[in-house]
Amino acid sequence: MLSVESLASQMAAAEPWPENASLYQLPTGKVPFIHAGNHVVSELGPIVQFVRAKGHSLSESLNEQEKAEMKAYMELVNNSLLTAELYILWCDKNVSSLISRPRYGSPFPFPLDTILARQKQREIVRRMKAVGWAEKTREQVHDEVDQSCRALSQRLGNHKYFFGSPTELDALVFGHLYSLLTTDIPGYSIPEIIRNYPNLTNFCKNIDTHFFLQSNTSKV
Amino acid sequence: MEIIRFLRRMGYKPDSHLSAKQEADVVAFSALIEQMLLPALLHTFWVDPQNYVELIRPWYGASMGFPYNLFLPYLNRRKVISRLEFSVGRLPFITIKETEAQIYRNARECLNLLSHQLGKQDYYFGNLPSTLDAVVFAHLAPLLRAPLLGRTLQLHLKALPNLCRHCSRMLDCCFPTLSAEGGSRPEREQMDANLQKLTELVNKESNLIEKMDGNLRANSKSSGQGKSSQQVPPDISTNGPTPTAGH
Repeated sequence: MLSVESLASQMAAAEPWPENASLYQLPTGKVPFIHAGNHVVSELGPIVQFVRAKGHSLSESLNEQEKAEMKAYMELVNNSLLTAELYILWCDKNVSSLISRPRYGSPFPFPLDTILARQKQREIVRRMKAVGWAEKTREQVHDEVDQSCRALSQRLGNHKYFFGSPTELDALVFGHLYSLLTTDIPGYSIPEIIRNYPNLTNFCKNIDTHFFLQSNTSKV
Repeated sequence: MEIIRFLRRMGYKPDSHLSAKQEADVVAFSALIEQMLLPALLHTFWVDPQNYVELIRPWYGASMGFPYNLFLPYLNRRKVISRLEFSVGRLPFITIKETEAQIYRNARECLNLLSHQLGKQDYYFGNLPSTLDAVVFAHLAPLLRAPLLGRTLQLHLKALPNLCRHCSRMLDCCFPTLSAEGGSRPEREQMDANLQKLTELVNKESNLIEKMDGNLRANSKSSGQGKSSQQVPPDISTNGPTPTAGH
């Protein structure tokens, strides 16, 4: 969700944003989705393709090699950071009962909130079992996050963005890292892992101040 | 991957000749392969009915003990199917055919990216193999060498010569004994498979001919008493009544 917002703000900073486009949050189905005129497009990948088809793209200036690298890093983030987030929020009994289920069911009245939250949890647990994350321990999850952060940090180096100018990868990485840094989850020390890589925290601060001018406080 | 981490902790470092950025690229490209290529490989080997029934089930069944070969391949297939469901999208948002089409589209794109990344070099990073070379080889070698029946992805891979050469190079480098005999085994198996198919075809044809023959005889017997004696030419001696009228 945050990745899409940051992508949208980066694109708005770079090019004129099409009219009648708005961003929504929806608790069920695929989030987030963008509603532009007659079109409804959900999830980051299809939104990027939709916007590219309209003629705007953040990664036009990249050569083929860099585009391949960008794709690889985006898959890395989706593979480890996203799966780790889902695992922590939904497979850990403590966290899911304290945080995830109440938050997910909050827009709905009484029996629907419990039913939908449990249904979502069952679906995510099935997905984790299918990809082999269900048997992972807390330490293994920390290791996975650490490894991906190390790779991202090594790739970023001392630069401001991953590829010179802001691209979709910057938006995606910012979205995930910012959420992980600013959410305090009992029993997991993910923010400390990310803070071990100061260039990543500076990267987040930079994008936060540059593109999200409305927010006055930065919790990073 | 756990094994690789364990070996790293023991002090074996295959990537010591790489820079920090290249090490990060190794991790990223491994994730890319796992996300985009692996679902299609699993589909080709375990879900495609021709490949599973003709090749994989007998292969795995032959190497397992008696009761296991009855159900373990089937259980593995179910696990693969449930994994593939989550790799692209889920019903009712996307149909099974679209899922399969998307999986193969992703795999073709991934193969093109890997080929582009390798270019004309011997290995992905310089003159020495790295972890990424091992990961790529591990995924591509079975696809290249297995005598598959459903072969769309295999044909796409064979159309990328630098990846094929990379696989052969890794095979010669790390598995020299296998690469010597490996050329003949798939050919022999291919010949066996062809022979088997030919035999089946011949059997089917002969069955068909027998059936047709049987039908003809049955037809001739059932209408034989009345009319067919009139059709019998005069120079063949028959036991039936000679025609009084007719020609």
